[in-house]
Parts: sequence; structure tokens; C-alpha cells
Amino acid sequence: MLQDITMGLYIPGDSIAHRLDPRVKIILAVCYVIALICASDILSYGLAALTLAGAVTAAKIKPSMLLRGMRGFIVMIAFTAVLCAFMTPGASWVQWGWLSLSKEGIYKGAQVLLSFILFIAGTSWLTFTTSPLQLMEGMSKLLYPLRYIKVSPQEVALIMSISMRFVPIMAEESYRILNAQKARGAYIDSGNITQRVQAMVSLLAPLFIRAWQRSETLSTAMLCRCYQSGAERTGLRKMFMKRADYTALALMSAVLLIIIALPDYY
Amino acid sequence: MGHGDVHGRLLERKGNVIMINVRKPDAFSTDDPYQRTRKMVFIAMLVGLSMVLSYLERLLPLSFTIPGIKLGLANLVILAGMYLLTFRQALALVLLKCFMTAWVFGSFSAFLYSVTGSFLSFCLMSVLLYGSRFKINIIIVSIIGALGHNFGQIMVAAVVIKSTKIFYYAPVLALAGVITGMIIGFCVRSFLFYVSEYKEKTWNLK
Repeated sequence: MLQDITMGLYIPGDSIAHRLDPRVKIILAVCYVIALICASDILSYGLAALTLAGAVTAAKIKPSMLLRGMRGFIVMIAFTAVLCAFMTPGASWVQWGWLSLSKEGIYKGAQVLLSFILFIAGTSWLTFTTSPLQLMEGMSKLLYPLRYIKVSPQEVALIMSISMRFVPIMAEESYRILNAQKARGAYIDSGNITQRVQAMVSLLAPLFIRAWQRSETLSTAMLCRCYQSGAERTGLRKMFMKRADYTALALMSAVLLIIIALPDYY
Repeated sequence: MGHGDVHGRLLERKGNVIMINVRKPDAFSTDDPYQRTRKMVFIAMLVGLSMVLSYLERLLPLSFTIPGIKLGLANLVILAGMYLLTFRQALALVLLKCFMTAWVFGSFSAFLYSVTGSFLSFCLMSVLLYGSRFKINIIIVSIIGALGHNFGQIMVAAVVIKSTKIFYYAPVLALAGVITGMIIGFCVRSFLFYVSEYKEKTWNLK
């Protein structure tokens, strides 16, 4: 199981969303999150939901897939929504001791739930339509201004690609070490807490040292092949902005401006 | 050791004091291309390791199953990195770990929660490690880091849902933070001694 590590939640496809530039998709996701934070009334949330519906249609993915990321947080958010419903001051409908359910409370609880659902679904859209490699390339291009604070974006991109490349190798290594330590009586998944911690240390120490040895070998190999840190590097794939990218950016900017300006008009 | 201005952090075990020299002037010097490349590749490996540990903890059955809580094995790499790297290198490790782990195994929302929690945790641990004159037990550092991580994540959740009622969940997260912080601290303290011996052999470069 460990050696079959799945990288990313990318769903391969050939839709408008899949063909968008990854830099544009990252910017769209950031704008969407800002729009959700600025949304404060039913019209704003409706517009954000409409934007999400358009993005899901453009990506040709099932809406149910977008809500997969909610599983870890659903209890916490449901707890918060119920607390909001009972503890928001307003005209009381139902009273249980010091807890009172009001119309304002129900509205607030629904708002909490809706914000969360839209947030998770919208941000999942980005990872479903963009492969990890495209995300890395897009992010490394967007990090170009870092060179003004003496951080090399090429080095950042290289670190990301090296780490991605070695994840399956280290996963296989950890599987082997796990089995080797199990053969020596160290079980991570059984025993009391002390035994589990000791078993975990018996996995982590060799894993860490192996990672270190790999990094030494790889850096020596890179230097032997005349790698120069910080030098300008070219890439096989060039990213170009197309009409669809500009259209998507214009639409998202319009949505964001409307959501920000909406409360001022009524 | 003893080359010019040496600053070390102490780790104590059963009365034996072991000096770990983590700010040796020659190590990871940005002027030396060899050192710079070594630094970069080592950080990349640590980021990859944190991604593997993040995936590994999903496969481990844990006895406590408080909703929304996990052990945070990936943060073990961060804590170890803070003892083995300089401040800037550790900060780069934190940010890249958040980005890679969240965007490869999670989503953009996971990235927002992770980066805020990790950054706050890193700031608190940095104050204890770099800003304090006294040697602080690694387990205390780990607990403070875990509490900071949970608090950072809950702050993001409060901003997203625009409600402070989520802070009522904070005591549960604080208790989980103390427990997981202790576990991670014990693990890092134990394996760091083996790693430090390897480090002393390989980092003393001419």
C-alpha cells in the first residue's frame, strides 16, 4: 500500500479548464478565496456559487467529487454551525435553558456551512484540473518576483521537482524499513503508546539517514555534471497565455469586484 | 568544532551533554557552489520525506480518533530541520513542505490551513530555539509548536466561515496538540542523536 503512493488528486481530462494555463488557474483560485472571504450576503454567496458552477461545468467533473475534501472537517464545521445557530442573539423561536434558536442564528449557521462548502469545493477544482507537475511549473513562474529578495525561483522549482521525484523512492524505502523492523519486533500499529513511539523511531532514524545519504550522492552527481546554482535555465515546455486564459481572468476579476462592491449598493 | 564563532544548541540525555553545532560558518555557505547545492538538495529530500510521512500517517491506525485531528508526522521533519539547519533554510523547508504536501495530497484549502499553522508554529519554535538564551527541552518546543499549528489552522477556519464560534473547538485541539507534540518531540529527540553522529562525520568538510 505504501509503495503505491498516489501523487495528486488530478483527474485527467480534456476540457476548457484543463487547457487553461496553470498560472491562471492558481490566480483564479486565489481570487475565488478572496471573493468568498469578502462575501457577506445571500447575493454574494449566490454569485460565488454561480462562479463555482461555471468552473465545474467547464472542467466536466462531477460535483460530488468536489466535496471529498470535506470529510476530515465535517464534524468540526457542523459543530460550529450548530453553535452559531444556538448562540447568535436574535428573536428566539425555541428556548432550551440558556440556548435559544433564532432566525438570525439559523441564517448564521447556514452561512457558516455554505462558506465552508464553497471554499472546499472551489479550491478542490484547482487540484482536480491541474496535475502536480503543472502546479509546480505554474507556481515556480509565479514566484519570479522572489529574485528581488535574493531567493532564486529556479532553485525553488528544482527543490520541488527533486522532492516530487524522490517521493516514490522514499515511500518504497520506508516500506522496506517498516517490514525489516517488523521482522525485528517493532510494530507501529500495535502495542501501547511507548512501544509505538519506539517502533516509529526505528523507522524514522534509518529513513532520515538514507535521505541524507541520497542528498549527498545527488548533489555530488549534479556538480559533476556542471550544475550551477542560480544560473538561468531554459525549459522544454513553454507556457503561453491564450484567449481563454485572458477571458477567465477577466470574468473572475469582474466577479471579485462585484462581490466586494455589492454591500455598498444595498 | 571551535572554528571561529560557533553557536550550538544542546541536547541532553541521561546527564550526557551533546553539543550540536548547527551554525558552523563553513556549512551551507552561499558563496561555495558545492555547499549551496548540498543545501538545496538536502532541503528537497527533507520536503520529499515530509510528504512520505504525511502519506504514511494515513495508513497508520491510531487509537485516538478525534475528528479533524491527526498525528502530524510531517511536522517531525520540520522539528528535526530546525535543529539541523539555519533559520532561513528551516523557513524554506517549512514553506515548501506546506506547498508540496498540501497541493500534491490535498487541495488549495489544505495549503491555506497548513501554511498558516506551520508558519505560526515555526515562529513560536524559532523564538524558543533562536531567541532564547536558555536551553529549552525539545519536547516543550514540540508542544508549543503543535499548539501554534492548531491555533493557526483554527484562525484560518474562523476567517473562512466568518465566525469566532469555531474557537469553542480550541480546547479539544489544544489537548490533542499537547499529546501529539509530546509524541513528536519524543520521536525527534530519540532519532536526532543517531542523525547527529552521522552529521558530525559528514559535515566537517575541508
